[in-house]
Amino acid sequence: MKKSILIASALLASVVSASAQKLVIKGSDTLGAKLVPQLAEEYKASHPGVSFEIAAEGSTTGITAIIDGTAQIGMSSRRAKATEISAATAKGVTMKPIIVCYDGIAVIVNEKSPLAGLNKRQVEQIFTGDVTDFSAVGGNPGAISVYTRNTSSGTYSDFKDLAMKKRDYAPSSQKMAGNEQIVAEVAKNPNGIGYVGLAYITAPGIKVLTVDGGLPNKESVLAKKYPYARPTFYYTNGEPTGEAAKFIEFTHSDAGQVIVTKVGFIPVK
Amino acid sequence: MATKSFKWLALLCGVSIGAASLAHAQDSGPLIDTLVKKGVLTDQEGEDLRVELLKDFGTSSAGKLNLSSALTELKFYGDARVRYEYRTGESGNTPVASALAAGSTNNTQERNRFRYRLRFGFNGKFHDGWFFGTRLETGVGSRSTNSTAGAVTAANGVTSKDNNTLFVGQVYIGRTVEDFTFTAGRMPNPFVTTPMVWDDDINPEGLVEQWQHESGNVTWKANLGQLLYEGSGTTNPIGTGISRQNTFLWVAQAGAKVKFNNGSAVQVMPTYYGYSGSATSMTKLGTTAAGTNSGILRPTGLSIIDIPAEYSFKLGGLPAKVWVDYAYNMDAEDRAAAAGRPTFDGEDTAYQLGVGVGAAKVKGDWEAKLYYQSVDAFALDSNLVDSDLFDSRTNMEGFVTSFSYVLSNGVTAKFTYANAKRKEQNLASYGAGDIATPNLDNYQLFQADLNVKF
Repeated sequence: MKKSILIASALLASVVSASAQKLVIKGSDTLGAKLVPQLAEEYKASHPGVSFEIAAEGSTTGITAIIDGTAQIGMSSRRAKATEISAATAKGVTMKPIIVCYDGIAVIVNEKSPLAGLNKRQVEQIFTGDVTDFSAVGGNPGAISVYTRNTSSGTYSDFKDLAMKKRDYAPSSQKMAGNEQIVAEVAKNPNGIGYVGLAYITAPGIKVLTVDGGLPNKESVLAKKYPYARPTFYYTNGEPTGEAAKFIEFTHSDAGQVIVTKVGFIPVK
Repeated sequence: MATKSFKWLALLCGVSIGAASLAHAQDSGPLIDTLVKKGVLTDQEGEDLRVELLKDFGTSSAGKLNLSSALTELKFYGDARVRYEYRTGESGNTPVASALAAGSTNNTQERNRFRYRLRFGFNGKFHDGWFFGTRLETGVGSRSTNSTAGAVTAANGVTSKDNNTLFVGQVYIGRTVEDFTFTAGRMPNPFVTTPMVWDDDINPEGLVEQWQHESGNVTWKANLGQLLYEGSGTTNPIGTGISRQNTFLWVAQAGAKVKFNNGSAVQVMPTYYGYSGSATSMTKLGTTAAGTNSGILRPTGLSIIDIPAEYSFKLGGLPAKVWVDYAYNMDAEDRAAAAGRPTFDGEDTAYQLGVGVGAAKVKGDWEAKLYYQSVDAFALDSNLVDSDLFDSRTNMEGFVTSFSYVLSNGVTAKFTYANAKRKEQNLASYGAGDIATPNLDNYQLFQADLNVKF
């Protein structure tokens, strides 16, 4: 009888343990502020035993977490750098990129701005500080307030590569913790300009500028015609396994991609 | 599965070959983008390939370097040289004091030296036209980067490394803005010149502004320099100390290079050299009396117009050139007076006439040069003239010839011979040379060099 109780207890413990599995996901604010939490909520509905720990503090933190083994999934809105891949290899970690969805980095201004669009050269000039007054690019006279993401952000890095020829940001630019903070500042400041992922462009008080005549949308991003289009990623250590693999599979499923669309990103299929 | 593996293998090979080397693997992004755009790869396959290439790149030598992202270019360069040198000279005086003291009547000095040098530098570029450069080099003197083999000290024994210190030969920062370049620090000589005026080991210190503009076949050039000649520093000393001013060398050079349709070109670069201050920590100008002229001379009475000109052309399919460098010291009268020889105020002119054939660039190339040089006693700054060819002296005339042959790309053998004599027998051969006499006569130099450049 005692033996039976012990076996039953052990079985119960293993069931509880399995049903309380936690998935740690760290990284990009672009993905982690809206999309991944919504995917997680939906996933939990069909997998009640799974819990999530999501930390959206920038793509760099997501890639570092994979290298350090402190997360099963690293979110990143940029590609891993050569130095990061070398660091991973040195630790025996194999960086595996998995495309989550597509994004276009939108250039936003205050909704009251008369500006409708800029060309790529003007965008570069504004964000590097070569141009400091909106009158130089067809706007109302006024000192431009540039809002950027902080240095651990993948969007910060991608925008530098895609829009600024890898030049440094204007010394006067203000670094914000996330997309929502940039939106909030630009919505308050008639002379503000910033950039955000597609999931954040519907916020009140801002408007999206055309770049070289085009807006970031499904067609221009998928056709790679929008100059600041990019894929976004999950990173794992090698091929994903276990619950991480199931969650990634769910992200790519029709249900997952519906959420991707609902949030504002471009689905992979 | 087999098809997929083959596709991957082919792509990896293709991209690697296309990128020329693993070192270029991380530049394969545009190629992968094109393959994705053309549908050869899916987006996901493209991303996997990128990581694979970066991973391979990370295991290569280049991939292990971690450079500042602010750099847009970094270049390492340098050279190593071994040299045998023989130089000899006669004193125009009765035997020099040291020889007499030793009981010798010998009036000739010979030096056999085995020397070597190392120069190693790196320079880099940043965005917005900024750049920097550095170079470490052997040799403590401003006009030599040589270490002499065979150093012996009681403490360190034979073949000691007492001569082998590496010094900061160059360190400079600059910015290029369109046709203008501004440089500050200790830098490679930015002026168009010849060894008659500047020893090519000298790295001037100070500020330099350069302008270069191409217009059709003409390249216009202008170089300005504010060079620190002697930094004595304290100008307002506490207490009874002596107030001193820095000594500056001011250089203004402007001219043009004109290219002709037949491949020939002519360049003329008139230059002015002027000084403010007189480098008071340096030895004063001496008289012709033996033993009083062996030190460095102050730049007193120097206001020089210099006109280097060169005509380059093809000679039987080989590059060739003839050149002339003419210099005139407008303040020679003051310099002669400072030397205690005011009646020699006409010693004010220097010139060099030369011809060169060939260009030592790649394996099998050769280059030969011959030039004649005549330098009046008070025509030039003896602190700047070449230290080898006429033993750092003025008041010398003679010829120099050299022959270079490229043994292998980057490896060159060079032989140099110089023969000169004192011009004006009533004046010293001013300057601080290796031959221990102020009145140098019948000077000869032979150098055999093996040089490796990287």
